[in-house]
Formats: sequence, C-alpha cells, structure tokens
Amino acid sequence: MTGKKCQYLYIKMALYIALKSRKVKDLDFNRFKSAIHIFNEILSSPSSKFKVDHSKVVFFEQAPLPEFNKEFEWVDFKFGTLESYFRRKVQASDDSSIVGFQIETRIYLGTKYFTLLYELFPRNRNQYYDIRAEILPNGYAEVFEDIEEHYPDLRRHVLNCIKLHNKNVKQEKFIHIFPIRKAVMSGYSDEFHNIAKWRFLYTQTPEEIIDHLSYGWPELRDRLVVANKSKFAETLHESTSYALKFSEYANIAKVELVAGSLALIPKDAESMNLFVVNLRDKVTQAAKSVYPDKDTYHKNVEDSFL
Amino acid sequence: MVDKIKLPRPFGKIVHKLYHIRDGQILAAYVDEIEYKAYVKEGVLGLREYLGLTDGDSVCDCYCVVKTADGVLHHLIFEDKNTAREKELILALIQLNKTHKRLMEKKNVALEAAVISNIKLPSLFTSKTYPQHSLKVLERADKPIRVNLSNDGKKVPVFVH
Repeated sequence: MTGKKCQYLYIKMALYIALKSRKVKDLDFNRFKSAIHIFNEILSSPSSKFKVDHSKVVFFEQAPLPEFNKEFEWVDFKFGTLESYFRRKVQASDDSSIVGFQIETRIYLGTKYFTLLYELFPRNRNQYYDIRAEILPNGYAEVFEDIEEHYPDLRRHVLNCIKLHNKNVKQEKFIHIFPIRKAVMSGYSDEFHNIAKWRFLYTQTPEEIIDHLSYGWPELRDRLVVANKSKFAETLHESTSYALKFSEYANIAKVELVAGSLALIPKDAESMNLFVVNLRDKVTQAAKSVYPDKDTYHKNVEDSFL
Repeated sequence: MVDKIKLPRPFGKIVHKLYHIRDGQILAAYVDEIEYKAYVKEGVLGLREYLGLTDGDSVCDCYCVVKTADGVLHHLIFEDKNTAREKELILALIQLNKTHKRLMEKKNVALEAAVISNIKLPSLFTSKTYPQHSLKVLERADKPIRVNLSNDGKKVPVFVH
C-alpha cells in the first residue's frame, strides 16, 4: 500500500544519488567509501536532527538476499572500523561489479522513529544512480517524503549535506571520495525520469535539465533528436533571458533555486509541475524556432539531393 | 470463536485459491491496523497490537490462520503492493521477514508461507508454477533457487500472486 499519508500526492519515493565517478573496477572500493561517507554526512552531521541507532550493514552480490549470496551476514555499522572489512569483501569477490551494500538503520526524530534503508547498488546494475535511500513503511510514514512532516527542513538538510560533501572532497585527505554529481527525490518507475514529478533535484550539470524536460514530451523530444542537444542546452544555459525566465517561473511556482550548481526544492507537487510546464513551453518554443521536427528534417535532407 | 472472518482484498481470494475454502474456515486474522483500519472488526484484529509493536515498527499487511478440511492449521502472512511498481520486492520481503521473526519470537508461530500480491518483479527474479502449489513460487531468475523468508534456519516459501 502506498501514499496514504503522503500530503503531496506523490507516489512512493526514494532519494537517489549519483556519484561523479568513473565506473571501473579499480575504483569500486572508492565507491564504497564515498557511499559510507555520504551516509554519515546526511545522518550524523552536526546540523542533522536525526538520531541514529541500531545501524547494521550487509554486503551482497546482486541482491540483498541470502538466496544470492554464499555469505549473507549483517554486521554492526561502526563508522571508521568498516573500511578494512569492506576492502576485504570487495577484494574477495570474484566480480566486484556485482557487489553492493545495504545499511538498515533506525532514525529517531523526537519521539518518532523510522527504519531507513540505504543501498549502494552494484556497479553493473543501475546506470543512472549509485545510491538509494528509502524508508520502510510504518505507522508514521509511508514514503520517504512523509518524514518531512516530522523534519520540515529535510530536503534543505539533504541539499546542505550534498554541498558540504562536494566542498569537503576537494580537500586532499578526501582525495578518494567521489563528489555527488546528481541527487533526485523521485518515484520508482515512470516518474523516475519525469522531472515534473520530482520532489528534489541537485545537479552539477544544469544543462541536463533540458533532457529531463523533453521526457514524455514528443514536441520537444522530436526536435532534440535531430539537434545538437548539448550545444542547445549550453546555449540556453548561457542565455541571460533564459536565466531570467527560469528564475521568474521558479518564483511563480515557488520552486527554490540554489546558485552554483542547480538545485530545485519545490514547495509541493503542483508548484514543481507548474514550473516544469512553463519552462518546457519556453524551451519547446526555442527548439521549434531553431530545429525542424524529425519529418521535416528528413524531408529537407532528401530534397537537397533532388 | 467468530463465525465468519472476512479478509481484506485480495487476501481472501488468495486463501481461497490456496486451500479452496470459504471465509468461514479462517480461524484468526490480524491486519496492520494503520493500513487496514476499516477491517479491524468482526473477528479481524490489529496485528501491531497482537505482536506488541508500536507505530514506528514496520509490519506486513496481514497474518491469518486457516483450517482446512483435514483439520490442519495453516499460518500465512501477506503483503500487498497494489501499485505494481518495480523494485518494491526487497521492501516487501523485509516487511514479511520482520513480521515472520516477530511471530516466531513472540507467538511461537511456524509459518507455512508468505504471499506478495500485485507486484512487478525486478529482472533478478521470476515466479514459477509448480504442480504442488496453487500460487507461483518466487525464485531467482538466473538459477532455480527459491526465495524464502528465513529465521533461525527455518525457511518459509514466498509465493507471488
């Protein structure tokens, strides 16, 4: 059952995080370290309102179930002492690309508590994101964003942690920790790619928002198929009038923007939808004026040789 | 004993499919009283209260005891993912496992099976039909290994409906 207590009409959601990393075997151990580092920053940083207890971690191959693993052992999660343990696990595996971990932890917010599941996907699995954080449904919360009822600044806290993480990893002592490239609070399935249904977005490459805008929107998608998409996105991103419109729509829809990288924290589902609809209209208009649709494009090419 | 216990949808249908019995042979039923508030009446009790859990704990949707014509008692638990969304399978298994553990520890119940309904399986998993079972059995997609709930070495098969 889903969404009963959810006040934003969103469907089952999780926080997805993509690391900025080259996904190669030699760096698998660094993926693990980075994911643990982020887990600690979000849950145990001084600014966090969470109190964490009963944390345990399991390393797995393919899926976090005993049926997929010769050894399936939950161990107490102790930050700092785990490093050698999971270094052994990664090295012991015949194929480290199928190794991931899951942390199950109890988080307290005042008198309420929730069970958080934090999973680092095996490298060979998810091409979009490396980490997923979600909660087990209980009497207080059905979906991840329900926690906001008890922690109103949750998304702001996540954003601050991401920014702090990306700032910290520039220091030499964190040289093996990957920065966060992108984070999204989204549902699982169709809505996974649909920016209008997202609850939170942080990205270091704001140009990619154009790609997300075109999802499920043939009018724009058709034109971007024959366009130099990255050039178009780059041009928009550098355009002052685009920046002004972007900001204006964000204001109307009460979507909070954070400078530097791009971060969106919508007030609610309607505001994100309104923001996306407005922005998409303008971007489609721009794309239409520059690029022909697919049929016209092919016809023009054909006609040139007549 | 209560004359007739009605299970929430789709659990009643699943029980009927498994044992070909009517609702009258359900001896006891407990549902998550937060999810299925309206059903906590006429013999259906709260599962959290039964297991001594608080609102902060996670529990599956339903636990019931069925008596078949041969007099055998069957203990079942259910989790319904009515959104049919992919990737929720692990979550459902965790909820079922937690309930299974609680039932064993607190009530000394030996479950016969767990059922997950309305779920789209991720590519790592498949469900197979066997002549001895009325419901499909959850298995790994790459090898014929069944997925079970496990606690203290006791394994409980997981069916998919």
